Formats: sequence, C-alpha cells, structure tokens
Amino acid sequence: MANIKYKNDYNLVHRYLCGDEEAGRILYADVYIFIRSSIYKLTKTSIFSDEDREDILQDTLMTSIEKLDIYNGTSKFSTFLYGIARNKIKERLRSKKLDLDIEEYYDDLGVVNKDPLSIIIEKEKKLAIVKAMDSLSENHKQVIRFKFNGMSTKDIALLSNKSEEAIDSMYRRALKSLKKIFEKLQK
Amino acid sequence: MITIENALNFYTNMLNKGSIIDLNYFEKNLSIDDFNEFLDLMEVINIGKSIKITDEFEKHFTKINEHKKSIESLKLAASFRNENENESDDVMDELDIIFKEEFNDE
Repeated sequence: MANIKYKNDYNLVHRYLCGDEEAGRILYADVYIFIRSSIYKLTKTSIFSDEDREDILQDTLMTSIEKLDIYNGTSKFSTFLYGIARNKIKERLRSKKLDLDIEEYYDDLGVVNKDPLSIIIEKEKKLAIVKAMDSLSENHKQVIRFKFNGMSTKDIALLSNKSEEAIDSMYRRALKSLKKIFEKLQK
Repeated sequence: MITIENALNFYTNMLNKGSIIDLNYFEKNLSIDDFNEFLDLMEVINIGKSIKITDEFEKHFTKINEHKKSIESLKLAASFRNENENESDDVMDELDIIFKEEFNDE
C-alpha cells in the first residue's frame, strides 16, 4: 500500500467513496477556489473564451470523480486535481488545433496564492449580507450585482445612461450602505 | 495616487478575474484615510463575492455528485452477473441463452 502522506485528504476521499456526501462537499470546497483560479490564470490568454474556462473546470471536476478511486493520498488532493486540469487544458488546445508551447503557461499554474474569497462561509454572515443586499435601494443593489458579476464600469455606465465616474461613485456609496446595514444585522 | 473609487473598482475587477492581489499597491497609492475605508469596504466585497462563488460551487458539486452516483450505478450493473451467479441460476441460465443467441458467431 502506498505511503499515505495526506491523511486528511485521503480520509475525505475514502468517506466520500463510501457514500458520505458531506465529506465530498468538504473535500471539493477546500480545493474549489484554488482549481478555479488556477484554470482561469492559466487560460487568461485570448485563445480561451469564458465558456472554454467553464468547460475546462466542469470537465476537470467530472474526471476527478471518475478517477477518485485511484487517489492514494501520496499527494495533496489539490495537486491531483491540478494534474487533471493541466490535461484538460492540453486537450482543449489540441481541439483548437493550436500548436503552442503550452508548457510556458504551466509555469504560472504553480503559483498558489492566498485567495481572499472563501467557500462555505458562515451561515450567519451569509444571511446578514443577503438581508443587507435586500435592504439597499434598487440602484445600489443593481450596481453591486453588476460589479460582482464582472461587468465593467463602462458597460454599466452605457446601460444606465450615466458617466463612468458616476457609476464608480455610486458603487462606493452602495458598498458603504451595504457595510453599514451588514454590521447592524450582525450585532 | 488613486482615488478610493478607482481602488474599489480595480479590486473588484481583480477578484472577478482571479488575479493575484497585492494590498501593498493599494496602501502605497491611497491616502491613509482612503486606505482604511478601502480595507473596511473590502470585507463586504469579499463576503458578497464569496456567496456568489459558494453558490457556483454548490451547483458544480450537485453535478459531480450526480455523476458519482451514475458511475456507481453503472459499476453495480456491470458486476451484476458476478455477484448474483450463485444466487439465481435460472436467471443466469436465461441470460446465457440470450447471450449465445446474440453473440454466438463472435
């Protein structure tokens, strides 16, 4: 039997394979942001569309499930997933018939940085922020939703017939209101 | 120097793109008051975006969990003959007849 180095990951995989769904949720939640941002960083070139990135992420996760029983705990589960993601990106490049030196992208992939986002945030915090969002004025709610969904200031300005400066300023005011209500709800 | 509006806009865009965020950049380019406000508002941006990404994760997890279940049921179906060979001879004999009829020439 292989020397199990990452017992926690191995244990979660084992429990998930035995039918413990919560173990699977914890296992994947721990690596989701890492694998998502790794794929996005690696494919930031214009060769890939957002749809490609989403497909690669989905394929990586699906394949990891198919190969879950070969995970032996000798590497981190995130490394296991990372290997699958690399292959999926290679496949995608081949399907685009691109003869690129893809290894140069892989250099970037090794960078593991602390992401400010987290998965499975505390229930109370989640409830408070959702409630706070609901309490905002329609304009403030909308500008936050647009920004969080990745829309540019320019596009929001065009859509709402306002200047870019006005949108940036509204975004700041909306965040301030959100923070104020959020803190009140948490007390 | 940048304005607090620019900093919030820039930070949100970087989060959306999954870029590496260096807070030193904001500290260097904002006034002390603006940097403190920026840190304050950064917290709600992070929580708000985390909710969005958690919802996204849950959708993915539902899909992979369903995929896992379908793989398990396929494995069960594939090993049906082996596991049940000794338990129901009649059914297995019948399956053998059907199998021979279909694939006898091969």
